[in-house]
Amino acid sequence: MASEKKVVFLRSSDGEAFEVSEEVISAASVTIKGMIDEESPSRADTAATTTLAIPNVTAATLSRVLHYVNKHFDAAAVVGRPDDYIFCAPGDEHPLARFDDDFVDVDNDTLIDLVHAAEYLHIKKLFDLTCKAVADKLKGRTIDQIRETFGIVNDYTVEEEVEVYRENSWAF
Amino acid sequence: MPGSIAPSAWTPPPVRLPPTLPPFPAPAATPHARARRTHPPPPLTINNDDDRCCPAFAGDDDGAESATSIEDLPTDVLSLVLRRLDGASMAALGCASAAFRDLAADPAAWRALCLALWPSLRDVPLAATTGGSSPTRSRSPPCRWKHCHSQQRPPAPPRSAKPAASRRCRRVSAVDLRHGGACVMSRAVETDASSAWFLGAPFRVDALTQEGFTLPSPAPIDPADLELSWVWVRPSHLVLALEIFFF
Repeated sequence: MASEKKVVFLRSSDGEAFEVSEEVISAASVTIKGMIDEESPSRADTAATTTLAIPNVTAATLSRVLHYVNKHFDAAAVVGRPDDYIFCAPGDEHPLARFDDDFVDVDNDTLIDLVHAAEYLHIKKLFDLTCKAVADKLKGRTIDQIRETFGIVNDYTVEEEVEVYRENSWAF
Repeated sequence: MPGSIAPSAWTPPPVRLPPTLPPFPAPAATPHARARRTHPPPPLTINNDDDRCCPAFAGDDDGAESATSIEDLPTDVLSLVLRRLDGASMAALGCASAAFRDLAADPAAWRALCLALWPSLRDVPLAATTGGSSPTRSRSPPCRWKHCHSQQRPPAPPRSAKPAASRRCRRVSAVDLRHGGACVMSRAVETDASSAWFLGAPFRVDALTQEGFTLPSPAPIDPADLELSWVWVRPSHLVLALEIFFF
């Protein structure tokens, strides 16, 4: 495969286009792989590149997602298997573990957007990572902290609140 | 047709990056390095100062809450998030709002938490442990699994004690034996609590057998490291959880 790698363009909901290797994005995203497969008969072997519309994801989120995808699924070519995370010797930090920590160290809105995008694009690793990050933000918080962190409105009536507090008093 | 899709503000010529160029070099300085646009203006330098081009990043820290809320996530996604929480956090989340109360009462999630605590309950063939509400008696709001989980905590919640209200005689002991934190035996033993043997003997259940005994290593077992958890189950719900230590 000395020839140039195929690329696809992904257009975000706000109209911005991002270039990504077809091989990498197919390995990462089930959704996009499906889109590419659907497109492939029409484009045959022509040099024309494909542009896929990703209507549910904004440019800011899509760029983050592609950053992740390129780190994780392109590194596969270099490091070995995409999942060699688990083959790391104990105590030997995987180079991407730090990257992942930094990647989800974002504000809540960005994180929730990433969960949405990972779900829509069917990128399981990213979905797991972001779900875990959301859970970590919830862990060990008091009720008020949870409400404050995620902007949850307390819609209980006084009676309901007393009841639900009593029901869960064991946890506090 | 890359030219037609380039954004308007800084439209570069439609240059294709050479495939060898890493498309998204991570600048070491920024904690969450962002993906570069794929059409940077030539020459192909990595300009770290293009943050201003990306309005979403600029707005990261300006306190604009409200745009996206955790409540916008689909229910099934939220329930996956909840699966990663511990019991206390889930209870706290359930107190946050009415919508989360239902989510945090998910019997399947509490069941998973209980099974992590008492692996042997997996084998208990009772309606009480299937995770759903039993066909005869639906008591959904106070999830039984949640109740079980909460019972492990020192101040056990007050429970309307109705001894022998319903005479159901089948009882199951779910026994987990741990050695140094690792579970070496999980067993569920069913007992007929109305039999003469049971009623006539001191409280006793034969749970320990050779089978199903997996030792982590052939090293001699130190009794001080053994820890026995014995959950006494009756068909409707758990009634007793014992933690026994050998010394």
